[in-house]
Amino acid sequence: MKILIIEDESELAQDMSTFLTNEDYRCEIASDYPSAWDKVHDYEYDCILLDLMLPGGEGLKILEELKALNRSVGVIIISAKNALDDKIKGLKLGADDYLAKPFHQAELAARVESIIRRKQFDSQNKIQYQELSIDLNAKSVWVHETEVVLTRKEYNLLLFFLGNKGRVLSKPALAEHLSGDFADMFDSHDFVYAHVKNLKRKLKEAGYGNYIQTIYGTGYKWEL
Amino acid sequence: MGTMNRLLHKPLKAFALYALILLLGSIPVYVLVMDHIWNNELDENNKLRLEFIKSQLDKGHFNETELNKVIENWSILQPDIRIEKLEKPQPFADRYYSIERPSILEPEEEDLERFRGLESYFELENRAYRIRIETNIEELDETFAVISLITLSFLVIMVIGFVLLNRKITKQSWRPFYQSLQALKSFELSKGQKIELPETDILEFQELHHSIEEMAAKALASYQQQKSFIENASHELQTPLALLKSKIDLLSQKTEVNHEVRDLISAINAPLARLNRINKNLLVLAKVESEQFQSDQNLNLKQVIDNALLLFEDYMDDKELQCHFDGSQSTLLYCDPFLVETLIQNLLSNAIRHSKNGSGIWIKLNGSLLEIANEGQESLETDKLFQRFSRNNSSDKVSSGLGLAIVKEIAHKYHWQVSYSFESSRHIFRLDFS
Repeated sequence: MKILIIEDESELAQDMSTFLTNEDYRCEIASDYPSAWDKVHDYEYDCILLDLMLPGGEGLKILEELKALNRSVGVIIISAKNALDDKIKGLKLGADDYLAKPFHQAELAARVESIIRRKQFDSQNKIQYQELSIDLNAKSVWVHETEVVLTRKEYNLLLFFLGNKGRVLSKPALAEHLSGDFADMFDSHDFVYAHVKNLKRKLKEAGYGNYIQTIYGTGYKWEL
Repeated sequence: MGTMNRLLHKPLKAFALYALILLLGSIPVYVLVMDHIWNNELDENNKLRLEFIKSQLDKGHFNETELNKVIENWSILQPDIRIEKLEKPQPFADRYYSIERPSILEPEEEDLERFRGLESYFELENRAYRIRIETNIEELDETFAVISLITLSFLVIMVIGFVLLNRKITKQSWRPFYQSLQALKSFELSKGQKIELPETDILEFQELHHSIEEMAAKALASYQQQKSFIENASHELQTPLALLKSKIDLLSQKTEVNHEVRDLISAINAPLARLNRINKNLLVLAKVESEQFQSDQNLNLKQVIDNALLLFEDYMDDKELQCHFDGSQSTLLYCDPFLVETLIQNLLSNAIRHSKNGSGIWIKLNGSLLEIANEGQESLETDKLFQRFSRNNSSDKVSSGLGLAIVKEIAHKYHWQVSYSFESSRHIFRLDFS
C-alpha cells in the first residue's frame, strides 16, 4: 500500500511516515504544493494524508484536482485549523475523513487502515485476521463459527487494535478514540482498562488467543 | 452614599436657596422702608395741615366765643384734629408721635388702629391752645403680610422659572454631554463597534467627544490586537504540540524502553493533554469572540444533552456517579451546534470532574431553563468563577481554567443567562435560554 503524506511540517511528516511504515505500508512525503501536485499526477496512492494549510496554495485545491482526475484514493484531511467549515468543505469535496492536529499517531493509523480497507473490500466489507472475522456492515465479530457479542465500545476497540497491530497504544490514545476530542478534559481513563479487560475476556471465551498485552505504565499492544 | 444628584440639579437647588434667603431677608427691609416713607409722608402732610389751620385761624380774627364755637364744631366734623384750650400758656415744640387707638371714624369697630400724630402749641387772642392732628396709617403687620405675600409669590414664580429654564438648558446645551454618556454606557469592547458622536457647537463637549472617540478607538485597536495575538499564538503552538505528541507516540513504540522511562512518558502525557486542552480552549474563545461561528441552525437541546451524556458515560461509570436527567420536554434552540455542544460538554465535564466517587449529578431541563447540579462541600467563589484562569483549586491538574470562561462567552454571544449558586450542598449552574 502506498501512502502520500502532504504536510509542510517536515518533521511531523517524517514522524507520521515512521509510525505508519511497516511491511504493508510505504510512505512518501510531499512538503509543498508543487511537489504534492506533481506526485498526485504522476503516481497512484491508496491513501493521501492532506494538510489543508499548505504554503504556496490551499490544500483544498489538491482535493479538487483529485476529484477532477477521478482518482479513487482515500483522502484524510489533517488540519491545524480545527475549524468546522474546513471539515465540511473538505468532506464535501470528497475527502473521506478529517483529523485535527494534534492527534495520536495510532488514531491516524487506525483511520488510514479503515479507509484503505473500505477502498479495497468495497464489496464484501469483511476483515479476516487469523481465526477472527469481522463483518463491518453488520458490525459482528466471529471466532471460527462462534459469534462474539461485543458492546459498541469493545467493537471500536477491537478495530482500533487491528489497525495498530504490533504497536503500543497509550491509554490517552485509546480514551480519545473511544470518547472523542474531549478525553483530555479528564485525568483518569480507567474505563479503558475495563473495556479492554472485557474485550480480552470475551475473545478468550470464544477460543481466540490472548493477543492483547498490557505494557507497563503505558497501555496495551496487539502482539503479532 | 445617599441619593445621587444630577449635575444640573445642584446649581438649581443652590440658586433657589439663595433666592429664598435673599427674598425672605428683603421682607423686613421693605417693611421698614415703606413704614419710614409712610411716616415721613404723613408727618409732612400733618405739618402742612397744621400750618394751614394755624394760618386760617390767624386770618379768621375770631373772638373768643366764635373761636369756642369753631373748636366745638371742629371736634364734631373733624374728630381726628383736636384743638384743646390750655389753662395756662405752656409753649412746647412740635412733636411727632405714633399712637394706637380705636378709630373715631368707625365707632362700631373696636380694633385698635395705628395713627401718626402731630402735636403743636399755639396762642390766639392771648389764649393757649394745643392742637393734635392724627392720620390713620397702615398697620405694620398688615404691611408685613402684604409684602410677604407678594415676595413669596415672586419667589414661587422665580423657582418655576428656574426649573423651566434649567430643563430647557439641560435639553439643549447639555444634550451632547448626555449623548456621550449614553455612548459610553452602551460601549462594549467585544462588539467591536466604534463610538461616533455628533458634532456640537460647545467647545468643551466637542473636545470631550473627540477624546471619547479617540479613547474608544485605541481601546478597540488594542483589544483586537490582543484577540488576534491569542488566536495567532494558539495557532503557532499547534505545530510544536503536534510534534511533541507524535514524538511521544514514537517513543512509546520503542520495545527496549524500561519501566522508568515508561513512567516518565506517562507523566509527560498528562500535562501535554492539559496544554493541548488549554490551547484548544484559547482557540475556541478567540473564535467565539471574533464571531467565527456562524452556522446557526435549529437544535434540540435535549438531544444535545443526551449525546453528551452518552459520550461521558464511561467517565461517570468510572466514578460511579448517578446521573438524574429530568427533561421530558424538548427545547428548541437556534444556534451553532459546535458551540452549544461545547457549552454543555464543559458544564457536564466540570460536574463529573468535581464530583466525589459515588455521588450524584442532577440535570433538569424545563422549557428554556437548564440546571446542572452536583454535590459539593462549599460554595465556589462566585465573582471569579467565570473569569479566565481563575481556578478555585490550584492543585487541579486537569482543568484548563477556561471551561467556564467559554461557557460565559458562548452564553453572552447568544444573550443567554448563565449563573451559579450553591444550594443545599449542591453546586448548581443555571442557564436561561430565553
